[in-house]
Amino acid sequence: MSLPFHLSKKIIRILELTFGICSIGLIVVLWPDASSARDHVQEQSPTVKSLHEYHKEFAASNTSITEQETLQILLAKGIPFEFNPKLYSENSQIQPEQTFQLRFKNNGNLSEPEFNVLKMRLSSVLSSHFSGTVFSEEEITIELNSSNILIMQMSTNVFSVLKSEEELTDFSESLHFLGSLNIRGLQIFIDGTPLGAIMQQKDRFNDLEMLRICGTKCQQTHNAR
Amino acid sequence: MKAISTQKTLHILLLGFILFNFSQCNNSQPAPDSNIEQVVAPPQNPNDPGTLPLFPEPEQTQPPEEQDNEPEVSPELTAPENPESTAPQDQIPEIEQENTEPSINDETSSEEPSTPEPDETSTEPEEPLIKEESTTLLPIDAAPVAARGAYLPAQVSSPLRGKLIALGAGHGYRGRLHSGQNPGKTLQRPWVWRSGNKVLDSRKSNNIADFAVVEDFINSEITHYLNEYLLNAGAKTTLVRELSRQHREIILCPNAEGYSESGPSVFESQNLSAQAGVSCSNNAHYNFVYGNPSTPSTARYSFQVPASGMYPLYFHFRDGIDRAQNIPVSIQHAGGTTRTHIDQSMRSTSSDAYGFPGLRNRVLYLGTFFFKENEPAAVTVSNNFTSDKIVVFDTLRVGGGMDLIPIDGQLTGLEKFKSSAFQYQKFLNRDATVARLSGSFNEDVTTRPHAANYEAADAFISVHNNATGQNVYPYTDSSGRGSMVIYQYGDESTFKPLDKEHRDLGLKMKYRLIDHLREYWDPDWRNFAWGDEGFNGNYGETRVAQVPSALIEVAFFTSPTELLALSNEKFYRTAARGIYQGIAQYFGAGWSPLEVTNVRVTHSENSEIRLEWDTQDFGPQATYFLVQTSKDGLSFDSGRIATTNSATFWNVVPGTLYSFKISAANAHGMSLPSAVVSIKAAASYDRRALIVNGFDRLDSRVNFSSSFDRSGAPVTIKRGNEFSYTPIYAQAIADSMLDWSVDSCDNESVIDGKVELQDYDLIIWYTGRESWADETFSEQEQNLLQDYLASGGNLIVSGSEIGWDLASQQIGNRSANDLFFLENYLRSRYTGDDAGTNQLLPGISVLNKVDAFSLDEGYSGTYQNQYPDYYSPVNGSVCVLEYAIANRCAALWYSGDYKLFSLGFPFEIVNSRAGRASLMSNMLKALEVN
Repeated sequence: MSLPFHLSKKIIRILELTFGICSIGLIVVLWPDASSARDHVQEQSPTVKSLHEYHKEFAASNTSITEQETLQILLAKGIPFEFNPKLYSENSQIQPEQTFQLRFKNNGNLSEPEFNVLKMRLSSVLSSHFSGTVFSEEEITIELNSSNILIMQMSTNVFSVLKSEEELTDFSESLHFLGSLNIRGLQIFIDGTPLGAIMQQKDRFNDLEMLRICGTKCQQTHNAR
Repeated sequence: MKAISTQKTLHILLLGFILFNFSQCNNSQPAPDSNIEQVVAPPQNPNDPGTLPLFPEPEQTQPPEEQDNEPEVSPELTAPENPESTAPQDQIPEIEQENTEPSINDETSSEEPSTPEPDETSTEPEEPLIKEESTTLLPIDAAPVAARGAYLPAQVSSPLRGKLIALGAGHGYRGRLHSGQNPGKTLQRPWVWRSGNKVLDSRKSNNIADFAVVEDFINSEITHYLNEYLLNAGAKTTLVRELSRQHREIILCPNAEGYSESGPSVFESQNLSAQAGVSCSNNAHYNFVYGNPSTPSTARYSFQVPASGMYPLYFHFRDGIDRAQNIPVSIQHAGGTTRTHIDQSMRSTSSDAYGFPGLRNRVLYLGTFFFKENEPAAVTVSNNFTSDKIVVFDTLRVGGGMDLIPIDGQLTGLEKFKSSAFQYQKFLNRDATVARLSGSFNEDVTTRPHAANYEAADAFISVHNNATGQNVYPYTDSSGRGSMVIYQYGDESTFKPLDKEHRDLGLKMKYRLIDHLREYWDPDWRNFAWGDEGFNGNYGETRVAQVPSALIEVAFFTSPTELLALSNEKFYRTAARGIYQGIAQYFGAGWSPLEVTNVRVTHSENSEIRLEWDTQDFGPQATYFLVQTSKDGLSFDSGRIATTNSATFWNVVPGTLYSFKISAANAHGMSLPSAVVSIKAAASYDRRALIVNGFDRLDSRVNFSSSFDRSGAPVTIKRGNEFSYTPIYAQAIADSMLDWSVDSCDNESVIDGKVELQDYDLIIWYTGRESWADETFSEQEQNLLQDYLASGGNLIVSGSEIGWDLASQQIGNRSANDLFFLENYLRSRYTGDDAGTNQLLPGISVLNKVDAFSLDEGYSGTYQNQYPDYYSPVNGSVCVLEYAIANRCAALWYSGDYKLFSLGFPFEIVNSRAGRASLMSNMLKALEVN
């Protein structure tokens, strides 16, 4: 026995309404998740507070706890935190050594304040490496060229202060700060010769010297077996 | 405008619903357990769409005189578009079913390397493979498939395979004399961090605070992981500086104690051993024999280690034009026997800076294996190959050892890995052409690249960390942040073609490192562009290299933000992986997959064991897996290949403990192994236990100031989390002699619904040192446990930070339910963060048969007991274990609508196996299901 026509239409409309609502809901639920590994990283990290903030929180329940002790607890529990550099700036500045009077030329695109910062920092760094060396003003000149590359000219007299590869490496590493001053590169010349050429000659000399020290052990024709 | 009727609107929505679901059906991946397809789909392009190269479109490189001022790059900074995608099916070895102990003489090998040439591998199949079985079937006791080639499956056919990469972790202890100071040792890059009024200066011994970072050691930590990734990709590595933390060492010299020969025609050479005058006698000579498969001869190096642990194996020898390339080596370790091959042939070098080629003192790394105290072990080298070449029987070294080369006339008394490259090269008995001198002082900087040149490596990578110099204090993030590269690039007068290789290698390494750190560590990781154009002569470490070479400065330890990263082991792994990917790019290789997750092992029907895991959704995909088995959770076999995400084992012996770890792999290499899971079959399955590993934390690094225990003996330095503690629990259950079956899984498997807590009579959930940052129990985990307990389950929880995390009165709770869960379900009231002792008193109440015991102080094989919680009973619990400090409760017991033990310390660090067995046995008896 079939339903009356008007009831059939109502049932059909109810079904259509139900399907329509369900389709909207399913579209919302099934919409693809575009999460990536990057999101994955960010989801897992708790909010990072400063060491100072944690210390204040810890001190609320333990008034005798020091910042150092707070630091050790955070480290022991793997809790990430941010340093507040201001806390360590008071009376903690290492005063730079006496700065040298160096010759600077600015042909690059650093502003005057930026170039002044460069001059100050470079003077401080160079003085720490070459303090005690007596040299004239012309023996170190520093020019920022139009490509923002720093050209450092120094005399053999000055360069000889760097007595070893280790000291040369230390000197070069002390100039890494230039990367945060928008300087694009560094070229060093010793009495007009590129540093690389000077060092290539030294390398060859060292190779021969080490072979000499090695002696017959390095020079004999070996019986492979 | 005619309005659209309601009826038509509903028709449109219905149509849209149908079309949407049709599109979803076409895009969906088959479910992991589907019977349709079990082979992992071909990998995605490793050029992950989420990581864009930071350089503009590659420009044609030009000779220096035509350079413009834009940085020049080599083409293809991105990974190759069509890497090896699937393992060639005809090279997947059959599962061997041998009844006898495999012997290296069973297999013969030609002089030609057994690894496939790239053009021999099959092309990517047009259709995914369909397996009849839904799981890889493996008999539990069959002899494992021995690794072919350099202990990697033959499926690894990456261009990195066989490449020799020289690795240098920068700095290390050197002498002070040539700095004009008093003689003695000094670190090269100790760091100073000022905290309040205290200066944490690592140059003052015994004052290395937790937070002071020593670059000399951090470089070594990162290089350790880089070495692992490269080896897993099929590369060979040669170490400029010792990496192993294993301070114990056994040296087996030719014709000396522990050395024996068998077979004919072994001759003593006129030439001295590679270790003559260093570890061997001044007059030690090596032996040699020609290849002869029909009447093989062997040299056997037999030894016993004084203490159980992981030991690297190194083979020292002198190379030559007549040495063979494919020499069989068999390693008998606690996990069984591993077979591999070594190459003793001379590597050609055009340099005349090291004397005549040939007879160079070389060292090959054979792998790191677990050896048991006083248990016989051996390495056997054979001439079982067909060629007119010889094999040299020289010196085997087991372990990393202490530095026995004096610095400024004095021994350091410290482990070899803490010393500089100069010290290690002297130990390798290399002369001044390698272990360079500056005047009469050792010169470490150029020793590192000279070592790489001497070995004629295919590349030299040096790992460092950065600083902005001592005169820019106070240190702030603005002083310098991010990753930087250093490489040699000459000008008109000094340019060499090799400089372009330095640039290509350096920039690919750096930019892949940055991309990877942004993806997996910090999306804002900085690019420190200083150095991108190279340096001409400034850095001896790169200038002197005659092989493609670059120095990577991973992070700035003068940046407060990056200093934290440099104290975190997860960062070391992430950075190392990024560097490895860059090196792989340089050699035209793809990348190995990421580690598997959701590892679980459960009993299935017919007394079989079902081991399952999941692969990660991102990164290069795995096409097969290496499944390694152990019976003690420490010593693993060489592994067997599984081509699906699960492996079913049969022939299980009831009562036997089995442990597994899995590495994901593809043609480009293997991932690091997963955490270890364990299973024990029982005579019956009336009592089923599940061990859940909730110890994910990996941040703390080793404390380098604590190299020695209180008696002055050096200790083995362990990492923060070795993901190997589940076997300790399973072993304790086995030792209890109670008939419990044991399954195990990681906590993610429970969270993701892969393992149901309700299937078990007992849950043992351990969190180790997991704390607030990683959450001991997340809200989801709490809900799952609450449901389980509400149904009358039994629970043992163990961890040193559960109370501190869930109570977190000092810094707030991660979840609103934390405290409620702790007090109302774990029946524990947090009373204190640090019990302040390693000693526990004899048990009381239901644990009254438990004797006093102690916790590991960091010297006993697991990890250091730090900040163990102490509790007060609440909501019906009682104290059943106390620390040896008055009124500090270490463990609570509750018996009501469910049963529970809540331990405020990690069970796994209970000293002695007997102590753990006693504690576990008594807990199980109290929990016994009627």
